[in-house]
Amino acid sequence: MQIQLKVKGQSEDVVVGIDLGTTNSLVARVIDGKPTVVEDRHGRAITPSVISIDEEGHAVVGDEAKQRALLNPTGTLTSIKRFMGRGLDDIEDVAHLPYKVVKADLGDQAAILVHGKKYLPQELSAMILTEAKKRAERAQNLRIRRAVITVPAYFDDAQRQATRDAGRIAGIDVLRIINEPTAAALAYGLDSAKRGTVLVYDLGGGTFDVSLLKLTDGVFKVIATTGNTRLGGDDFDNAISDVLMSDLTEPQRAAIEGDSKALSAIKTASEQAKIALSSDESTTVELDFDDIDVALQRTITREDYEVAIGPLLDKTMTAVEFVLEEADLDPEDVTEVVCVGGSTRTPAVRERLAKEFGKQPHTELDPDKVVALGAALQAQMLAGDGTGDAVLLDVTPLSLGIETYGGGVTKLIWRNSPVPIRATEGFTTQVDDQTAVAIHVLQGEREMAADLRSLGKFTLRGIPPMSAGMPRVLVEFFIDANGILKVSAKEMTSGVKASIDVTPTYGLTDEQVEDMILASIDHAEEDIEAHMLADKKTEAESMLRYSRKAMTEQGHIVPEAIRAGVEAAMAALEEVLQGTDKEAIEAASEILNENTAPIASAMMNEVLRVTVHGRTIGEVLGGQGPRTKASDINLSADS
Amino acid sequence: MSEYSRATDSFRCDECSEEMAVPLFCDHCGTNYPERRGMGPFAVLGLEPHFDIDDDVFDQREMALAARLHPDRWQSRGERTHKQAQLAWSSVNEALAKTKDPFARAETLLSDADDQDDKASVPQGFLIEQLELQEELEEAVSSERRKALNKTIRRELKELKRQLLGHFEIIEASQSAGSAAGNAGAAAMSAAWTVVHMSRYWRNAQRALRGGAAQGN
Repeated sequence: MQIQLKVKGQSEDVVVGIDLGTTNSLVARVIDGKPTVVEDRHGRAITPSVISIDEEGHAVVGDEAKQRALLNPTGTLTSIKRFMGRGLDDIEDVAHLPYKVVKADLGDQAAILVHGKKYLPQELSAMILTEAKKRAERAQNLRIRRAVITVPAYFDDAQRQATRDAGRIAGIDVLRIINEPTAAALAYGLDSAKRGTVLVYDLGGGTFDVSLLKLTDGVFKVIATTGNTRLGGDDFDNAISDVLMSDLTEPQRAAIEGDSKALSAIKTASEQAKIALSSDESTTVELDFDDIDVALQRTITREDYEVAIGPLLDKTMTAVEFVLEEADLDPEDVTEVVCVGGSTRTPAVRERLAKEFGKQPHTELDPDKVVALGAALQAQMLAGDGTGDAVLLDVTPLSLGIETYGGGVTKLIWRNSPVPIRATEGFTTQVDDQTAVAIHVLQGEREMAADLRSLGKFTLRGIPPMSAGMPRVLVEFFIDANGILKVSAKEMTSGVKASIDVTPTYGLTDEQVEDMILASIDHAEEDIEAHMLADKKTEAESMLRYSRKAMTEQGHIVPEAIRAGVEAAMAALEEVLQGTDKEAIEAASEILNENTAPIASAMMNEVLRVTVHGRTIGEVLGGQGPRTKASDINLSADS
Repeated sequence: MSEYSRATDSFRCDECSEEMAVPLFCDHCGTNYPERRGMGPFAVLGLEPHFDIDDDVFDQREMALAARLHPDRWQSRGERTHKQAQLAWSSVNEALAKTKDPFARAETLLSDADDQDDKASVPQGFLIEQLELQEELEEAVSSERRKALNKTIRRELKELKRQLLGHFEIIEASQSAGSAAGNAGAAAMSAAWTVVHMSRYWRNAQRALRGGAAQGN
């Protein structure tokens, strides 16, 4: 018997692009100049952005978490991206969510309550990033340190910052946060076109974006972008759910809405129906909820579906008209239309776009993978020497301003300004010897501070004591290439650099991020140690079990001396298994393995002999079950 | 107009003697020239200060500069140089913001030529018209009406731009004749200021219209 050893070798340090999606996340890298989605050992390219947390607080992420959705409905978290950098008040549709959203302990941001513990969206997204990263690393023996992460073009500063923090918590050096539509245009290699205008229509799981890009000789410029952070494929699913439930009576509907298991089941059925309706003309959904005594059967035609999503499609087309207007362009001026996001598989979406622009949209690349592919290209470019590749010129999606006396706002940077960009504003004091000034930074298009999104409050300190109105504090707002705001300040008459205390409204302070990184590293190390020990123990225990079985059933086929050796090795292993010494367990396992080798080879001969008589390997090895486990086969074939 | 699109002097780097894309930062060796930060926006872009410049000239200039200067190209050249490239590029963005839009360009040129007269008044009738427009914008108007309003605003701005072209023809002619203070020149300048002010009202209305649409999500 043999323990499989992990291949130890130099792992390859690579940069990747990560599409941190609302429903799914993907990792891609460039191999020989070609962007490729990294598959894990099981050939899975997609990590579902799903987390399942059990009552003890243990979390699993991805496919496993998705499988637990029905068993653990209140602890299975989906669509985390919707809460990134958001406050509790921003979140609509709380009724459609099977889990609880509460106010976080710090700031105004939303947190998710699972089995009595609060989790921040950044922490949860970091878990998804970590899982996606680990899968890719293990599958291809890679080491991922640096990455480009994509966000919807319409993400504001707080949302971008939250994404960046999630990356940092997951131990990733985030090279750039880039816009999903830009990544998509890159993936299509549209930068090789001499010049043109590209409209990217991105209807993902939970967000909708539309962007206009202008390209000239390898330089991409986002000229206008808009979107809706609360519209996506999930809403298509909800529209189907509403159709499914439309025949039910009011009490039946109430019963379903009060039962998170039933809600989950309806959501899953709706998603399947949506996928079926991309190719079929109609589909029938049948669900039985014994617990609440409700049965549901409904046939949905493609027409029903198109009617149900009609208002959603109208919303997206309003946004399309809006960007065209903002860029002062007509539909005829658009040279290419690119579809991104799984929801663009819905034929009605493609038809609407073809009709609006008089040309077929690009759908050659998998709309679920195209963003990750483009991000990988950008990551490669940023990590390389930066020559000869496409350059992205991004714009800030929302205006930035500061609150003025009386609740008004002064806009310092207008929406759709190219980034990086700087703006400066002078401040002074109101009373004599005032040494601090508070500044409230806001983002959005409306005119009153109360209607805008608060990014944070800055307090300038260390202003030299002077008469009121004398100090001239120059504050510089700098939006960097990632669309993230940095603030610095200087008192001009004295030259004193004012210090700034930042209280982000929705994000985390640097210290909080550091703490989270440290916590995750501490835990990661503990986790790895604990996992390795548990793995070794499990392996050793199963080896003991098989050895004991082999000795009882097949011991007679080997000489007494060998049997004694096996007995001694088994006793030694049992002894060390009481403790937690990983190396000792490993060594004792190895000794047992050597001692049982002769039995295994004798058994192998036996297997070969009896298989001829129509018995399976499993049966020969004493298994009662009809199926042969892969590990059983290994056990004999290795020796 | 093309003869005005490039400034005559180009800058060479003191360190490596190469020709620089912008005067602020050497895109060959990464040397920074912070003392040149105060340069006017036209100088940053390497353009002759002049009103009648086609949109395409700015687009081409931006794209050409991006290919050489954009901070992404400098990401792997060390943190300090990358930061300087970011600052240089943000200066290019600021310069574009002050010159690309015809009304911003007019304001930049007028402020340079004459720093006192920012007080030109707009006609009374225009103000009343704007007040009515504002009231209408505050009410929830139908999407058809919004579209129509947007069209009107675009048409009015186009007309104002046409007027600016005429005013600047006179301003620039009187400047080159060395009589900037001449009557025709002064009158054209005052008229140009009025147009700039009027454009602000239309721009605000346009923003209000778009802001409303952007909030729809």
